[in-house]
Amino acid sequence: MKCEICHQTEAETVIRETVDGEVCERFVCQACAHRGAEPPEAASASALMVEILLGAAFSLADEPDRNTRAERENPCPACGMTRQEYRKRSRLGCAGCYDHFARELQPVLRDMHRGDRHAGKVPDRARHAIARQRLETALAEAVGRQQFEQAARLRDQIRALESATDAPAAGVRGKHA
Amino acid sequence: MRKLLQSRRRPLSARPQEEDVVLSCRVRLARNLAGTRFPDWNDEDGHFGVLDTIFAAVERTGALPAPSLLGARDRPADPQELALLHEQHVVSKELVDRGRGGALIRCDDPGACIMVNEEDHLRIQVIRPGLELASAWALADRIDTCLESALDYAFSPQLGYLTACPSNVGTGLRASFMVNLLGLRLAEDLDAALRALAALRLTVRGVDGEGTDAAGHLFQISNQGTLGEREDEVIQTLSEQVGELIRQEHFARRRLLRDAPAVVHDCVARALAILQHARMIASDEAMDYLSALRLGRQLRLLKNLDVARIDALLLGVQPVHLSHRFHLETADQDCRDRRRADWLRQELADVLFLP
Repeated sequence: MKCEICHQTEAETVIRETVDGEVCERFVCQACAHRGAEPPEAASASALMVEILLGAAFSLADEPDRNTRAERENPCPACGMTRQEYRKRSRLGCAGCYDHFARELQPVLRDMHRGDRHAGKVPDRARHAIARQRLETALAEAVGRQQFEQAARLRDQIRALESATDAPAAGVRGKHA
Repeated sequence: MRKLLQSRRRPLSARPQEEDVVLSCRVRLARNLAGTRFPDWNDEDGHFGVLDTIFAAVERTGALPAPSLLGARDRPADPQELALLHEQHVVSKELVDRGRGGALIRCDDPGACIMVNEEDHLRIQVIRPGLELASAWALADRIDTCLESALDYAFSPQLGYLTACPSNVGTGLRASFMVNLLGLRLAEDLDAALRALAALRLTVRGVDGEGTDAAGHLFQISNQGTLGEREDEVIQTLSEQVGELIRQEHFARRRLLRDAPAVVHDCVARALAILQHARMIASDEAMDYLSALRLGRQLRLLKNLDVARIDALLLGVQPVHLSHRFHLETADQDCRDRRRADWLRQELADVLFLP
Protein backbone atom coordinates (compact mmCIF):
# COMPACT_ATOMS: atom_id res chain seq x y z
CA MET A 1 0.00 0.00 0.00
CA LYS A 2 1.35 3.44 -0.99
CA CYS A 3 1.59 6.37 1.41
CA GLU A 4 -1.66 8.34 1.42
CA ILE A 5 0.15 11.70 1.50
CA CYS A 6 3.01 11.46 -1.01
CA HIS A 7 1.68 8.42 -2.91
CA GLN A 8 5.33 7.52 -3.62
CA THR A 9 6.71 5.25 -0.93
CA GLU A 10 5.18 2.25 0.82
CA ALA A 11 3.05 3.18 3.83
CA GLU A 12 4.70 2.02 7.04
CA THR A 13 2.70 3.61 9.80
CA VAL A 14 -0.58 5.27 10.66
CA ILE A 15 -1.09 8.90 11.60
CA ARG A 16 -4.15 10.21 13.33
CA GLU A 17 -5.25 13.73 12.49
CA THR A 18 -7.87 15.87 14.14
CA VAL A 19 -9.48 18.15 11.60
CA ASP A 20 -12.41 20.25 12.83
CA GLY A 21 -12.87 17.94 15.79
CA GLU A 22 -13.08 14.86 13.59
CA VAL A 23 -10.40 12.19 13.89
CA CYS A 24 -9.28 10.44 10.78
CA GLU A 25 -6.49 7.95 10.13
CA ARG A 26 -4.13 7.79 7.23
CA PHE A 27 -1.57 5.17 6.24
CA VAL A 28 1.66 6.99 5.49
CA CYS A 29 5.39 6.45 4.99
CA GLN A 30 7.92 7.26 7.72
CA ALA A 31 9.02 10.50 6.03
CA CYS A 32 5.48 11.88 5.81
CA ALA A 33 4.77 10.77 9.37
CA HIS A 34 7.74 12.83 10.58
CA ARG A 35 6.76 15.77 8.37
CA GLY A 36 3.31 15.53 9.94
CA ALA A 37 3.34 19.10 11.25
CA GLU A 38 3.40 20.49 7.72
CA PRO A 39 1.49 18.13 5.48
CA PRO A 40 1.37 19.17 1.84
CA GLU A 41 -2.36 19.46 1.47
CA ALA A 42 -3.73 20.10 4.94
CA ALA A 43 -5.51 23.44 5.10
CA SER A 44 -5.98 23.44 8.85
CA ALA A 45 -2.41 22.64 9.71
CA SER A 46 -2.63 24.36 13.07
CA ALA A 47 -5.42 22.06 14.16
CA LEU A 48 -3.55 19.03 13.02
CA MET A 49 -2.30 16.63 15.60
CA VAL A 50 -0.17 13.81 14.42
CA GLU A 51 0.38 10.79 16.49
CA ILE A 52 2.25 7.75 15.41
CA LEU A 53 -0.13 5.07 16.49
CA LEU A 54 1.65 1.89 15.74
CA GLY A 55 5.02 0.40 16.42
CA ALA A 56 6.21 1.73 19.77
CA ALA A 57 3.10 3.85 20.10
CA PHE A 58 0.94 0.86 20.96
CA SER A 59 2.23 1.16 24.47
CA LEU A 60 1.51 4.88 24.78
CA ALA A 61 -1.09 5.97 27.29
CA ASP A 62 -4.47 6.49 25.77
CA GLU A 63 -5.90 9.91 25.40
CA PRO A 64 -9.61 9.23 25.23
CA ASP A 65 -10.69 12.76 24.44
CA ARG A 66 -8.88 12.56 21.13
CA ASN A 67 -10.79 9.50 20.05
CA THR A 68 -14.05 9.81 18.26
CA ARG A 69 -16.96 7.83 19.58
CA ALA A 70 -16.82 5.58 16.54
CA GLU A 71 -13.23 4.69 17.38
CA ARG A 72 -13.98 3.98 21.00
CA GLU A 73 -17.07 1.96 20.31
CA ASN A 74 -15.95 -0.15 17.43
CA PRO A 75 -15.39 -3.40 19.27
CA CYS A 76 -14.48 -6.74 17.72
CA PRO A 77 -17.84 -8.36 16.92
CA ALA A 78 -16.60 -11.73 18.16
CA CYS A 79 -15.21 -10.80 21.59
CA GLY A 80 -16.00 -7.13 22.25
CA MET A 81 -12.40 -5.94 22.50
CA THR A 82 -12.07 -2.30 21.52
CA ARG A 83 -9.12 -0.75 19.78
CA GLN A 84 -8.41 1.27 22.89
CA GLU A 85 -8.32 -1.85 25.02
CA TYR A 86 -6.04 -3.55 22.51
CA ARG A 87 -3.62 -0.63 22.57
CA LYS A 88 -3.52 -0.72 26.33
CA ARG A 89 -2.79 -4.44 26.51
CA SER A 90 -0.92 -4.97 23.21
CA ARG A 91 -2.80 -8.22 23.07
CA LEU A 92 -5.80 -9.27 21.06
CA GLY A 93 -9.02 -10.64 22.55
CA CYS A 94 -9.71 -13.52 20.18
CA ALA A 95 -8.85 -14.96 16.78
CA GLY A 96 -11.56 -12.75 15.22
CA CYS A 97 -9.62 -9.62 16.24
CA TYR A 98 -7.10 -10.40 13.49
CA ASP A 99 -9.83 -9.64 10.95
CA HIS A 100 -11.36 -6.77 12.85
CA PHE A 101 -8.07 -4.94 13.45
CA ALA A 102 -6.47 -6.11 10.20
CA ARG A 103 -5.71 -2.59 8.96
CA GLU A 104 -3.74 -1.44 11.97
CA LEU A 105 -2.14 -4.84 12.47
CA GLN A 106 -0.64 -4.83 8.99
CA PRO A 107 2.26 -2.44 9.71
CA VAL A 108 2.80 -3.98 13.16
CA LEU A 109 3.20 -7.44 11.67
CA ARG A 110 5.52 -6.11 8.98
CA ASP A 111 7.70 -4.61 11.68
CA MET A 112 7.84 -7.75 13.76
CA HIS A 113 8.25 -10.45 11.16
CA ARG A 114 10.23 -11.37 8.08
CA GLY A 115 7.24 -12.14 5.91
CA ASP A 116 3.54 -11.40 5.81
CA ARG A 117 2.31 -14.88 4.94
CA HIS A 118 2.45 -18.04 7.02
CA ALA A 119 5.10 -20.42 5.69
CA GLY A 120 5.08 -23.11 8.37
CA LYS A 121 3.05 -26.03 9.56
CA VAL A 122 -0.65 -26.30 8.66
CA PRO A 123 -2.95 -28.38 10.87
CA ASP A 124 -4.71 -31.22 9.03
CA ARG A 125 -8.12 -29.84 9.93
CA ALA A 126 -7.29 -26.46 8.42
CA ARG A 127 -5.84 -28.15 5.34
CA HIS A 128 -9.16 -29.94 4.89
CA ALA A 129 -11.16 -26.78 5.49
CA ILE A 130 -9.08 -24.88 2.95
CA ALA A 131 -9.39 -27.65 0.36
CA ARG A 132 -13.12 -27.93 1.01
CA GLN A 133 -13.63 -24.21 0.65
CA ARG A 134 -11.80 -24.26 -2.67
CA LEU A 135 -13.91 -27.20 -3.93
CA GLU A 136 -17.16 -25.59 -2.79
CA THR A 137 -16.34 -22.39 -4.64
CA ALA A 138 -15.51 -24.39 -7.76
CA LEU A 139 -18.74 -26.36 -7.36
CA ALA A 140 -20.85 -23.20 -7.13
CA GLU A 141 -19.11 -21.85 -10.23
CA ALA A 142 -19.65 -25.09 -12.15
CA VAL A 143 -23.34 -25.12 -11.22
CA GLY A 144 -23.60 -21.48 -12.27
CA ARG A 145 -22.08 -22.35 -15.66
CA GLN A 146 -24.39 -25.40 -15.85
CA GLN A 147 -21.40 -27.75 -16.15
CA PHE A 148 -23.11 -30.52 -14.26
CA GLU A 149 -20.65 -33.31 -15.02
CA GLN A 150 -17.86 -31.30 -13.47
CA ALA A 151 -20.14 -30.31 -10.60
CA ALA A 152 -20.81 -33.97 -9.86
CA ARG A 153 -17.05 -34.69 -9.84
CA LEU A 154 -16.48 -31.81 -7.43
CA ARG A 155 -19.34 -32.99 -5.20
CA ASP A 156 -17.76 -36.46 -5.01
CA GLN A 157 -14.42 -34.89 -4.09
CA ILE A 158 -16.08 -32.93 -1.28
CA ARG A 159 -17.73 -36.14 0.00
CA ALA A 160 -14.42 -37.99 -0.12
CA LEU A 161 -12.77 -35.18 1.83
CA GLU A 162 -15.57 -35.26 4.42
CA SER A 163 -15.23 -38.97 5.03
CA ALA A 164 -11.46 -38.63 5.33
CA THR A 165 -11.89 -35.87 7.95
CA ASP A 166 -14.41 -37.87 9.98
CA ALA A 167 -12.21 -40.96 10.18
CA PRO A 168 -10.61 -41.39 13.61
CA ALA A 169 -6.96 -40.43 13.90
CA ALA A 170 -5.43 -43.89 13.96
CA GLY A 171 -2.14 -44.71 15.61
CA VAL A 172 -1.65 -41.33 17.23
CA ARG A 173 -1.08 -42.82 20.63
CA GLY A 174 1.98 -44.66 19.37
CA LYS A 175 3.56 -41.55 17.89
CA HIS A 176 4.91 -40.25 21.16
CA ALA A 177 7.59 -42.80 21.91
CA MET B 1 7.97 -32.28 45.51
CA ARG B 2 11.27 -34.14 45.89
CA LYS B 3 10.96 -35.36 42.32
CA LEU B 4 10.45 -31.77 41.27
CA LEU B 5 13.68 -30.71 42.92
CA GLN B 6 15.67 -33.49 41.29
CA SER B 7 14.11 -33.22 37.88
CA ARG B 8 16.22 -30.24 36.87
CA ARG B 9 19.31 -32.35 36.48
CA ARG B 10 18.29 -33.95 33.26
CA PRO B 11 17.59 -30.86 31.18
CA LEU B 12 20.74 -29.20 32.41
CA SER B 13 23.36 -31.86 31.92
CA ALA B 14 24.95 -31.85 28.50
CA ARG B 15 27.99 -33.08 26.66
CA PRO B 16 31.32 -31.59 27.71
CA GLN B 17 32.67 -28.73 25.57
CA GLU B 18 29.26 -27.30 24.84
CA GLU B 19 27.94 -27.70 28.35
CA ASP B 20 30.04 -24.89 29.73
CA VAL B 21 28.54 -22.42 27.31
CA VAL B 22 25.06 -23.78 26.55
CA LEU B 23 23.04 -24.75 29.59
CA SER B 24 19.86 -25.80 27.86
CA CYS B 25 17.65 -25.18 24.89
CA ARG B 26 13.91 -25.01 24.54
CA VAL B 27 11.12 -24.93 22.02
CA ARG B 28 7.69 -23.58 22.72
CA LEU B 29 4.65 -23.53 20.48
CA ALA B 30 1.80 -21.08 21.09
CA ARG B 31 -1.63 -22.40 20.16
CA ASN B 32 -5.21 -21.27 20.76
CA LEU B 33 -8.60 -22.88 20.46
CA ALA B 34 -10.88 -21.58 17.71
CA GLY B 35 -13.98 -19.70 18.79
CA THR B 36 -12.76 -19.04 22.33
CA ARG B 37 -11.46 -15.79 23.78
CA PHE B 38 -7.73 -15.64 24.45
CA PRO B 39 -6.89 -16.15 28.17
CA ASP B 40 -6.33 -12.49 29.08
CA TRP B 41 -9.77 -11.62 27.76
CA ASN B 42 -11.52 -14.67 29.20
CA ASP B 43 -13.03 -15.25 32.66
CA GLU B 44 -12.38 -17.98 35.20
CA ASP B 45 -15.21 -20.20 33.97
CA GLY B 46 -13.89 -19.79 30.44
CA HIS B 47 -10.38 -20.73 31.61
CA PHE B 48 -11.60 -23.95 33.20
CA GLY B 49 -13.65 -24.78 30.10
CA VAL B 50 -10.49 -24.42 28.00
CA LEU B 51 -8.51 -26.49 30.50
CA ASP B 52 -11.09 -29.32 30.47
CA THR B 53 -11.06 -29.42 26.67
CA ILE B 54 -7.27 -29.45 26.45
CA PHE B 55 -6.67 -31.99 29.21
CA ALA B 56 -9.26 -34.33 27.69
CA ALA B 57 -7.50 -34.00 24.31
CA VAL B 58 -4.11 -34.73 25.88
CA GLU B 59 -5.49 -37.87 27.55
CA ARG B 60 -7.35 -39.06 24.48
CA THR B 61 -4.52 -38.59 22.00
CA GLY B 62 -1.66 -39.58 24.29
CA ALA B 63 0.12 -36.36 23.30
CA LEU B 64 1.92 -36.57 26.66
CA PRO B 65 2.25 -40.06 28.16
CA ALA B 66 0.60 -40.44 31.61
CA PRO B 67 -0.32 -36.75 31.90
CA SER B 68 -0.93 -35.11 35.26
CA LEU B 69 -2.47 -31.78 36.00
CA LEU B 70 -1.21 -29.02 38.25
CA GLY B 71 -4.01 -26.49 38.83
CA ALA B 72 -7.26 -28.43 38.46
CA ARG B 73 -10.63 -26.83 39.17
CA ASP B 74 -11.12 -28.79 42.40
CA ARG B 75 -7.45 -28.93 43.38
CA PRO B 76 -5.68 -25.59 42.89
CA ALA B 77 -1.92 -25.61 42.33
CA ASP B 78 0.25 -25.21 45.42
CA PRO B 79 1.70 -21.69 45.06
CA GLN B 80 5.08 -22.84 46.39
CA GLU B 81 5.29 -25.63 43.85
CA LEU B 82 4.49 -23.16 41.08
CA ALA B 83 7.14 -20.76 42.42
CA LEU B 84 9.72 -23.57 42.40
CA LEU B 85 8.81 -24.44 38.82
CA HIS B 86 9.17 -20.79 37.92
CA GLU B 87 12.71 -20.66 39.30
CA GLN B 88 13.44 -23.79 37.25
CA HIS B 89 12.18 -21.88 34.18
CA VAL B 90 9.50 -24.49 33.58
CA VAL B 91 6.57 -22.13 34.06
CA SER B 92 6.48 -18.42 33.32
CA LYS B 93 5.71 -15.57 35.68
CA GLU B 94 2.57 -15.03 33.66
CA LEU B 95 1.23 -18.48 34.53
CA VAL B 96 2.09 -18.01 38.22
CA ASP B 97 0.22 -14.69 38.16
CA ARG B 98 -2.81 -16.18 36.40
CA GLY B 99 -3.79 -17.96 39.62
CA ARG B 100 -6.99 -20.01 39.29
CA GLY B 101 -7.58 -21.09 35.73
CA GLY B 102 -3.90 -21.33 34.84
CA ALA B 103 -2.53 -24.87 34.77
CA LEU B 104 0.43 -27.04 33.86
CA ILE B 105 0.05 -30.43 32.19
CA ARG B 106 3.10 -32.58 32.91
CA CYS B 107 4.24 -36.11 32.17
CA ASP B 108 7.10 -38.42 33.16
CA ASP B 109 9.47 -36.49 30.88
CA PRO B 110 10.43 -33.48 33.04
CA GLY B 111 11.43 -31.55 29.93
CA ALA B 112 8.04 -31.77 28.19
CA CYS B 113 4.92 -29.98 29.37
CA ILE B 114 1.99 -27.79 28.33
CA MET B 115 1.12 -24.53 30.04
CA VAL B 116 -2.61 -23.84 29.82
CA ASN B 117 -4.14 -20.36 29.90
CA GLU B 118 -0.84 -18.55 30.01
CA GLU B 119 -0.73 -15.79 27.36
CA ASP B 120 -2.25 -18.29 24.92
CA HIS B 121 -4.54 -21.27 25.57
CA LEU B 122 -1.67 -23.70 25.02
CA ARG B 123 2.04 -23.30 25.33
CA ILE B 124 3.62 -26.59 24.34
CA GLN B 125 7.12 -26.60 25.78
CA VAL B 126 10.11 -28.92 25.43
CA ILE B 127 13.40 -28.29 27.27
CA ARG B 128 16.51 -30.25 26.36
CA PRO B 129 20.17 -30.20 27.42
CA GLY B 130 22.89 -28.50 25.40
CA LEU B 131 22.42 -28.13 21.68
CA GLU B 132 19.61 -30.64 21.18
CA LEU B 133 17.25 -28.06 19.70
CA ALA B 134 16.30 -30.22 16.72
CA SER B 135 15.15 -33.06 18.98
CA ALA B 136 13.26 -30.58 21.16
CA TRP B 137 11.47 -29.29 18.07
CA ALA B 138 10.74 -32.82 16.85
CA LEU B 139 9.04 -33.71 20.14
CA ALA B 140 7.09 -30.43 20.37
CA ASP B 141 5.94 -30.98 16.78
CA ARG B 142 4.78 -34.52 17.62
CA ILE B 143 2.85 -33.36 20.69
CA ASP B 144 1.25 -30.60 18.60
CA THR B 145 0.33 -32.99 15.78
CA CYS B 146 -1.30 -35.37 18.26
CA LEU B 147 -3.32 -32.53 19.80
CA GLU B 148 -4.50 -31.05 16.51
CA SER B 149 -6.31 -34.31 15.77
CA ALA B 150 -8.52 -33.61 18.79
CA LEU B 151 -8.55 -29.81 19.03
CA ASP B 152 -9.75 -27.07 16.70
CA TYR B 153 -6.90 -24.59 16.62
CA ALA B 154 -7.38 -20.94 15.75
CA PHE B 155 -5.63 -20.88 12.38
CA SER B 156 -5.73 -18.72 9.28
CA PRO B 157 -4.19 -19.75 5.95
CA GLN B 158 -2.70 -16.26 5.59
CA LEU B 159 -1.43 -15.65 9.15
CA GLY B 160 -0.98 -19.20 10.44
CA TYR B 161 -1.60 -19.98 14.11
CA LEU B 162 -3.39 -17.00 15.67
CA THR B 163 -1.95 -15.89 19.00
CA ALA B 164 -2.88 -13.34 21.67
CA CYS B 165 0.20 -11.25 20.86
CA PRO B 166 0.89 -10.48 17.18
CA SER B 167 4.60 -11.13 17.82
CA ASN B 168 3.89 -14.88 17.95
CA VAL B 169 1.46 -15.20 15.05
CA GLY B 170 2.43 -17.58 12.24
CA THR B 171 4.33 -20.59 13.52
CA GLY B 172 3.85 -19.68 17.19
CA LEU B 173 7.39 -21.04 17.57
CA ARG B 174 9.93 -19.60 19.94
CA ALA B 175 13.19 -21.53 20.05
CA SER B 176 15.90 -20.51 22.48
CA PHE B 177 19.25 -21.37 24.01
CA MET B 178 20.43 -20.45 27.47
CA VAL B 179 24.12 -19.55 27.28
CA ASN B 180 26.90 -18.42 29.63
CA LEU B 181 29.01 -15.73 27.94
CA LEU B 182 31.41 -14.79 30.70
CA GLY B 183 34.45 -15.27 28.43
CA LEU B 184 33.18 -12.73 25.94
CA ARG B 185 32.32 -10.35 28.76
CA LEU B 186 35.80 -10.58 30.30
CA ALA B 187 37.38 -10.16 26.86
CA GLU B 188 35.18 -7.06 26.41
CA ASP B 189 33.77 -8.54 23.23
CA LEU B 190 30.29 -9.14 24.60
CA ASP B 191 28.65 -5.97 23.28
CA ALA B 192 29.90 -6.61 19.76
CA ALA B 193 28.71 -10.23 19.91
CA LEU B 194 25.26 -9.18 21.15
CA ARG B 195 25.02 -6.49 18.46
CA ALA B 196 25.82 -9.10 15.83
CA LEU B 197 23.05 -11.33 17.19
CA ALA B 198 20.58 -8.46 17.06
CA ALA B 199 21.55 -7.80 13.43
CA LEU B 200 20.67 -11.44 12.71
CA ARG B 201 17.21 -10.71 14.12
CA LEU B 202 17.74 -12.74 17.26
CA THR B 203 16.40 -11.66 20.63
CA VAL B 204 18.79 -11.62 23.58
CA ARG B 205 17.48 -11.35 27.10
CA GLY B 206 17.96 -12.42 30.69
CA VAL B 207 17.13 -15.93 31.83
CA ASP B 208 13.78 -15.08 33.36
CA GLY B 209 12.37 -14.25 29.97
CA GLU B 210 10.79 -11.07 28.75
CA GLY B 211 11.88 -7.81 30.34
CA THR B 212 14.65 -9.19 32.53
CA ASP B 213 18.32 -8.36 32.73
CA ALA B 214 20.91 -11.04 32.33
CA ALA B 215 21.75 -12.66 35.65
CA GLY B 216 25.11 -14.30 36.20
CA HIS B 217 26.26 -13.76 32.61
CA LEU B 218 23.46 -16.04 31.49
CA PHE B 219 21.52 -15.05 28.41
CA GLN B 220 18.56 -16.46 26.57
CA ILE B 221 18.90 -16.21 22.81
CA SER B 222 15.83 -16.80 20.69
CA ASN B 223 14.38 -16.30 17.23
CA GLN B 224 12.50 -13.05 16.72
CA GLY B 225 10.05 -13.56 13.88
CA THR B 226 7.33 -16.18 13.58
CA LEU B 227 5.59 -15.16 10.35
CA GLY B 228 6.95 -15.97 6.91
CA GLU B 229 9.53 -18.54 8.04
CA ARG B 230 9.34 -22.32 8.23
CA GLU B 231 9.89 -24.02 11.58
CA ASP B 232 12.75 -26.25 10.43
CA GLU B 233 14.56 -23.26 8.92
CA VAL B 234 14.21 -21.31 12.16
CA ILE B 235 15.57 -24.25 14.18
CA GLN B 236 18.50 -24.83 11.85
CA THR B 237 19.43 -21.16 11.51
CA LEU B 238 19.27 -20.55 15.25
CA SER B 239 21.35 -23.67 15.96
CA GLU B 240 23.99 -22.55 13.47
CA GLN B 241 24.10 -19.02 14.82
CA VAL B 242 24.37 -20.16 18.42
CA GLY B 243 27.00 -22.68 17.31
CA GLU B 244 29.01 -19.75 15.97
CA LEU B 245 28.49 -17.88 19.24
CA ILE B 246 29.83 -20.89 21.18
CA ARG B 247 32.92 -20.89 18.98
CA GLN B 248 33.41 -17.19 19.73
CA GLU B 249 33.00 -17.79 23.45
CA HIS B 250 35.51 -20.67 23.41
CA PHE B 251 37.89 -18.56 21.37
CA ALA B 252 37.52 -15.65 23.81
CA ARG B 253 38.27 -17.97 26.73
CA ARG B 254 41.36 -19.47 25.08
CA ARG B 255 42.63 -16.06 24.03
CA LEU B 256 42.09 -14.63 27.49
CA LEU B 257 43.99 -17.47 29.04
CA ARG B 258 46.87 -17.00 26.61
CA ASP B 259 47.05 -13.18 26.60
CA ALA B 260 45.67 -12.15 29.96
CA PRO B 261 45.58 -15.16 32.27
CA ALA B 262 45.61 -12.90 35.33
CA VAL B 263 42.22 -11.46 34.34
CA VAL B 264 40.62 -14.89 34.20
CA HIS B 265 42.43 -16.19 37.29
CA ASP B 266 41.39 -13.12 39.24
CA CYS B 267 37.75 -13.44 38.19
CA VAL B 268 37.51 -17.13 39.14
CA ALA B 269 39.61 -16.94 42.32
CA ARG B 270 37.74 -13.87 43.54
CA ALA B 271 34.37 -15.56 42.92
CA LEU B 272 35.49 -18.66 44.81
CA ALA B 273 36.92 -16.61 47.68
CA ILE B 274 33.71 -14.65 48.11
CA LEU B 275 31.52 -17.74 47.95
CA GLN B 276 33.78 -19.55 50.46
CA HIS B 277 33.86 -16.67 52.92
CA ALA B 278 30.76 -14.50 52.61
CA ARG B 279 28.47 -14.34 55.63
CA MET B 280 25.55 -12.85 53.72
CA ILE B 281 24.92 -13.08 50.00
CA ALA B 282 22.01 -12.17 47.72
CA SER B 283 20.68 -14.53 45.09
CA ASP B 284 21.80 -12.51 42.04
CA GLU B 285 25.29 -12.03 43.44
CA ALA B 286 25.63 -15.72 44.23
CA MET B 287 24.53 -16.65 40.70
CA ASP B 288 27.09 -14.25 39.22
CA TYR B 289 29.93 -15.90 41.14
CA LEU B 290 28.66 -19.40 40.49
CA SER B 291 28.66 -18.76 36.77
CA ALA B 292 32.26 -17.55 37.12
CA LEU B 293 33.02 -20.91 38.76
CA ARG B 294 31.47 -22.60 35.73
CA LEU B 295 34.05 -20.81 33.57
CA GLY B 296 36.82 -21.74 36.03
CA ARG B 297 35.84 -25.37 35.83
CA GLN B 298 35.89 -25.41 32.05
CA LEU B 299 39.38 -23.88 32.10
CA ARG B 300 40.48 -26.54 34.63
CA LEU B 301 41.32 -23.95 37.26
CA LEU B 302 39.24 -25.63 39.97
CA LYS B 303 39.59 -28.94 41.80
CA ASN B 304 36.79 -30.91 43.49
CA LEU B 305 33.94 -29.33 41.57
CA ASP B 306 31.85 -30.55 38.67
CA VAL B 307 29.27 -28.82 36.50
CA ALA B 308 26.31 -30.76 37.92
CA ARG B 309 27.14 -29.43 41.38
CA ILE B 310 27.46 -25.85 40.13
CA ASP B 311 24.12 -26.20 38.36
CA ALA B 312 22.48 -27.60 41.49
CA LEU B 313 23.81 -24.59 43.42
CA LEU B 314 22.73 -22.13 40.68
CA LEU B 315 19.21 -23.43 41.10
CA GLY B 316 19.32 -23.91 44.87
CA VAL B 317 20.47 -20.38 45.77
CA GLN B 318 17.31 -18.86 44.29
CA PRO B 319 14.89 -17.56 46.94
CA VAL B 320 12.08 -20.11 46.68
CA HIS B 321 14.40 -23.12 46.39
CA LEU B 322 16.50 -21.91 49.32
CA SER B 323 13.46 -21.30 51.52
CA HIS B 324 12.11 -24.71 50.59
CA ARG B 325 15.36 -26.54 51.32
CA PHE B 326 15.85 -24.96 54.73
CA HIS B 327 12.16 -24.63 55.65
CA LEU B 328 12.46 -20.89 55.98
CA GLU B 329 9.00 -19.57 56.72
CA THR B 330 10.13 -16.02 57.04
CA ALA B 331 10.08 -13.51 54.25
CA ASP B 332 13.07 -11.92 55.98
CA GLN B 333 15.63 -11.35 53.25
CA ASP B 334 18.56 -10.89 55.63
CA CYS B 335 17.83 -14.26 57.14
CA ARG B 336 17.74 -15.82 53.68
CA ASP B 337 21.00 -14.12 52.67
CA ARG B 338 22.70 -15.51 55.81
CA ARG B 339 21.38 -19.02 55.21
CA ARG B 340 22.46 -18.85 51.55
CA ALA B 341 25.98 -17.79 52.50
CA ASP B 342 26.22 -20.56 55.15
CA TRP B 343 25.12 -23.17 52.66
CA LEU B 344 27.51 -22.01 49.93
CA ARG B 345 30.46 -21.97 52.37
CA GLN B 346 29.63 -25.49 53.39
CA GLU B 347 29.10 -26.77 49.83
CA LEU B 348 32.24 -25.18 48.41
CA ALA B 349 34.58 -25.73 51.40
CA ASP B 350 36.69 -28.38 49.65
CA VAL B 351 37.00 -26.61 46.29
CA LEU B 352 40.54 -25.54 45.45
CA PHE B 353 41.82 -22.92 43.04
CA LEU B 354 44.83 -24.45 41.24
CA PRO B 355 45.94 -22.45 38.19
